[in-house]
Amino acid sequence: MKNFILKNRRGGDKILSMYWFGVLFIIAAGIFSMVYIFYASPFDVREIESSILANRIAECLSHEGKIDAKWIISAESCSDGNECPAALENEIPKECNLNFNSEFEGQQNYVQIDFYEMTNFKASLLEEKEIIVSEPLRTVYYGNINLKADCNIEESKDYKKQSKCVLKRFYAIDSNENKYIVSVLSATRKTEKNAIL
Amino acid sequence: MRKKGNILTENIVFIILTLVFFTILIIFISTKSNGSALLEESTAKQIALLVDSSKPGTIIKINVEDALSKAQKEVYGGKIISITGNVVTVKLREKGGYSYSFFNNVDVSAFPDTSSIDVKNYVITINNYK
Repeated sequence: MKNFILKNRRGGDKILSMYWFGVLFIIAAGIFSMVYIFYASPFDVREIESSILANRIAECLSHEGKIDAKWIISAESCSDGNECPAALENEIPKECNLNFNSEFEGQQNYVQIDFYEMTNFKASLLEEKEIIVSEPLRTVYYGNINLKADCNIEESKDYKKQSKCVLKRFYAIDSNENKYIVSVLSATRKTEKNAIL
Repeated sequence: MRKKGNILTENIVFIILTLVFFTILIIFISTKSNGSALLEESTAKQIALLVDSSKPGTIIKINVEDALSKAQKEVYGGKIISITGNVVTVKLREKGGYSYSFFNNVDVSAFPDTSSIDVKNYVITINNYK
């Protein structure tokens, strides 16, 4: 009887050891996978990049709160029903010193600038988000326009594989003290280097 | 007496296996967290963002002691930071390297700071707009 208990207890110990190793294996597999997933995902800097881009555009358009006469004259001429000079779109990279070429094929950034008259500016709240109701005096954009769709989707849901967008708005005046609201939307793609594919 | 000896051996084997198990785990975590690829990526992205937010005339000094020691371990003696066009490349291994682009259209140069005997910093100079 004594012998049986001893044998049985030793058998129990072996089972316990196996169980212990099983638990260890499960824990290790968990840690391995967590570490692997954590370090396999790249640092996502797209939002910071978009923010820097929006700031750069704001600096380029407005000097000490005054919009460069060139942008305003064009905006006014467009609001009168005249066709906006296409050359101004090409002026953005030149004026703001931007170069959207990258190590990827195709441009990875997009910038859209909307000029609104302060007197006619209207915005409403929809699901805690401010939506501009009034029509812009003029819209100027540069870069990969396909990225704009990502910004529209991002408003409802944030997807990792999509471009990251930043929307900034500032107040400015022209040389005749006319007041404007300038909205700058910037988007950065570079998904391959900032999110797991 | 013989049975006691068996129990002791089993316990020692058990302890050794557990130790081996955890050692492998710690080695895996440390190699993953201190990898050259990770440092290449973070350095390249940091430099690109710094260049993006800089104006002409800016001089940036970056401490690259960690990167240089990693490159030494990997037996790589080339230039660790290079800027071609608007792409920053950080390379700490012979077969490797990480590139990231910046949108600021400036002429940028990167070179090791040789003001001290041991190179600890890299100097990034933001020159004029292109």
